[in-house]
Amino acid sequence: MIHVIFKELKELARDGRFKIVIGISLILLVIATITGVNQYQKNNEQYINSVAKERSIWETQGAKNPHSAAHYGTYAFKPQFALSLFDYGVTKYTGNSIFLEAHSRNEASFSEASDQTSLARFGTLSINFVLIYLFPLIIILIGYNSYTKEKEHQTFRLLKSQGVHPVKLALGKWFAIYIPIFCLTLIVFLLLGIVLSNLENLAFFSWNSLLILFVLYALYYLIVTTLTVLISMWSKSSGMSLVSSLVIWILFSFISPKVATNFANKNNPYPSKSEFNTRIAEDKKNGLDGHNPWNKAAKKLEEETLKEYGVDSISQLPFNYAGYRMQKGEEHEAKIYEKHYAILNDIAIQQNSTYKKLAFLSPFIPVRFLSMDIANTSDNLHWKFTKAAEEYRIKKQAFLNNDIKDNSKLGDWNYKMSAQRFKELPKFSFTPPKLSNLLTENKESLVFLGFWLLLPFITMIWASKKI
Amino acid sequence: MFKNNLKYEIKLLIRSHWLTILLVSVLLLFTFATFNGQKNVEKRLSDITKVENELHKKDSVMVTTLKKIEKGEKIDGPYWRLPSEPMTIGYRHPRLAIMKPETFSFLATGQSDMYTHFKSPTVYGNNFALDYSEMVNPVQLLFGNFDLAFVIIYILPLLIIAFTFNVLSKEKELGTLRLLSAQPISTVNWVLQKMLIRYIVFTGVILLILLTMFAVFSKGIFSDIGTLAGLLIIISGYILFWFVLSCIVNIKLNNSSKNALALIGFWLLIVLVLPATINQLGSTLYPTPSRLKMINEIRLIKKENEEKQNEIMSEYLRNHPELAQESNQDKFGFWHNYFASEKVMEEKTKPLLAQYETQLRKQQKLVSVFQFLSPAILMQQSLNKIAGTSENHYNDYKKQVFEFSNEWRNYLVPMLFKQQKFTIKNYNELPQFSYKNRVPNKIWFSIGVILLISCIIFFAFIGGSLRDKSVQKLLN
Repeated sequence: MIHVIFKELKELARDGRFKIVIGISLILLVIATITGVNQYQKNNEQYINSVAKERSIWETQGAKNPHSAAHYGTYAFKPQFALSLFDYGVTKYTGNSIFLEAHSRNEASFSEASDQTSLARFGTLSINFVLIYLFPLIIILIGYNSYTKEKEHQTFRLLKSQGVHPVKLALGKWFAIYIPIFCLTLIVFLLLGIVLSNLENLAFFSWNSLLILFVLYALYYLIVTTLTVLISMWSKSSGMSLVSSLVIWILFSFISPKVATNFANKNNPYPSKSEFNTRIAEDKKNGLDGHNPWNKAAKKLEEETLKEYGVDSISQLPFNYAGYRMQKGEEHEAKIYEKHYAILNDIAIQQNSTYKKLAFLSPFIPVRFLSMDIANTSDNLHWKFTKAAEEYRIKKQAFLNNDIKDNSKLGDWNYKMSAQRFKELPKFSFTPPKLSNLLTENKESLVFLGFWLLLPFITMIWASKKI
Repeated sequence: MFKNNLKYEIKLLIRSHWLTILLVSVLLLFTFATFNGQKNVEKRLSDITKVENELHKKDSVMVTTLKKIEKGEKIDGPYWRLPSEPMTIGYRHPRLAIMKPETFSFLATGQSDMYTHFKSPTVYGNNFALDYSEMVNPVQLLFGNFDLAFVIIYILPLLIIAFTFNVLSKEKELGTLRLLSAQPISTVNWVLQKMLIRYIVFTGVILLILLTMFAVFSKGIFSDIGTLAGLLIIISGYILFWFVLSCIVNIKLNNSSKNALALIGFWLLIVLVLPATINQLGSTLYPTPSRLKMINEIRLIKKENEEKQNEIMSEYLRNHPELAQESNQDKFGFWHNYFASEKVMEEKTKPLLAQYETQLRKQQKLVSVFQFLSPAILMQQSLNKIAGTSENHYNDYKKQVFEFSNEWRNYLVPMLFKQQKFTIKNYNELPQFSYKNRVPNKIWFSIGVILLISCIIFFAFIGGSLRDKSVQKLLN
């Protein structure tokens, strides 16, 4: 088998086309890395500045009524994760800041894509772009004629007559195709790791994530390699083999994801923003359960509070009831938002599961999802971020409302919270999920990948004996 | 000779099953794509109907209350909720500014999946910095839609490549090239004739299927014959470009697998790598300032504004003396203050927001230069423009909504300051928004460009071979 591998590799090394293709890919990788690093540093710097500036705006607003401050609000910014320069994922489409104000939960606004031309829809050149679209093509280029050339040069009979075991021959050719791409990928990831670890202010970089990404792509290339060899085995001519492999590649990387989009959209359509807001407004008006609006609930709350403290008017309560009621109202509204965002999140999960289920059509899909997730640029992460921001918003509201409750008198709307106290609000911080959690969340994709690894491989071994 | 060639070529195509494969695959792809495009348009329309119904419901309640007020009946609820107050109408009952799909919208999703198609600008609030993004799963935006534009831009070239990559090299590999060169026609001419025949057959099939699809799914577009003709011609032009490219590769390389590889390489370059690289270059060369920075700056302006509010108000009143009616100054102090500070906010943020537009325009300029390099970009831009889903359309829609928001404000604010009540009569003459497609699609220019590109590369690479009658080069 070793001989087969050496023979194939030598042939490859002498092939001019291989060199050109590798050269072009490397140039693209270099461009992608330079622009990626540039963009990352700029965005990260902007992120750090914005967080600091926004915090200082918050802290220096001077003595103010807490509720005015709540309306003035503050922002939660999404950190720029280190691996986002490897895989941009959906970050371009999600926006990375959320306005946190009283009474309403806001969406992340200003996606990058809306500030770009529609060219962005072709995709953006990134390291991941080269790895996920172009590297499989290199594999096809190396391997499409691995069997057909023996048939066309009539050397296949010769090989057989020499007593080479067909499985060994298949494995030899398989390794010979995979080794160059494996080495290339290894180098790319190593260099990437070195570049990344030399950057300043890197947020949440871990070699482990990079390693898992490397394994992921290496596995994807294994699948593509197996399929390429298999197709070459079954094809009559090199031309046919090349065309078939390319059809598979296009099916994997372009057609299936797009078809999945249409399925996902048809089965679980998103409401429009205005429809979503109308539903929330309706619940706000009629109450969460449809017959218990906030003004009714508020009355009940008042009665209960009075009873609890054994007094008969709110002015006798040991705290400012206005602040207390405001906080309860906020919590009431927050629950309405939670309900509707949970419904929305459910639609998103359903849609993504449609995508992931269609992984049986294309191993590209699980790889794409896993890659985004590990790079912290997936919509899964974006949901986690928006949830964290909402939790922080509720905490912030409680901080301000409790100040009214504890420090002001009923009816005193001119009350001002001291300038100093604004500094006591804890800062917003967001930590991405752990790698192990991410992998458990993506169990389904991993299983599909496993199937894609095994089935074609077994078929290849079986088919190698038949020809 | 041409007749002979034509006869045998067609026989060959029919017997090799190529025509059947082509027909079936194109039919499948086009049906699915048109169906999807139509579904997207339907979803857009149904979303629009939903908000319209919602508005009608709200309006009918409002009108009933107005009638009661006009009859002098007493209405419960606080004063600021009464529809007889112009500001209540202005803020709580805004009109819908709807962007209806165009006849050709099913053709290309373009940017339509990212943006909303209805907005209700209110009498106060930041109308100049509205967020137009629609609620959507970002994964969908990442993967994109399977629409006709995708099939035309990405898949058609691949079909062409598969259809033509070995027109000449096959003869060489079968050993029939020598026989051919003994015929009374130059081999290059023979290849060109063969390609021309294939081009006509291919384009014919595509256009026929396309027209059938339109007839089945979207009859409306036959009313706009001019654009339809332009669309069909530009698709033919795009197909021509790929045929020319294939011709060149056939004649220059003349080896089946090398041909296929070279053509796939060109496809990758034109459809995938160039657009992605140009997009990356565009945003590196003309980066839009960070939105985070904008948020910071707007917040600072807001903060400053609050501090200076009194000062601002008197300045504003100086500019609008008609609003400062002496007796009501106290009562309307709040509104004066509000509109004044909003006006200042608007003035101050204008240069900030203008930066985004300028940078986007520069990026667009870059794209329009590079579309000469990659016909795929040219096609995407043209199809989006025909479909009314290009970024230009959405930018213009934003402008129209902003213009409308001014109209809305100018109708209601004077009523407030003149102490007029809002009546049924006012309701019937409220300003209405109607979206106008003001973006020219420049389709004939694009057709010109694509034909020009095809001609230039044709003569630059095959011009020499046309004169050179020897086949020696081809045989080697």
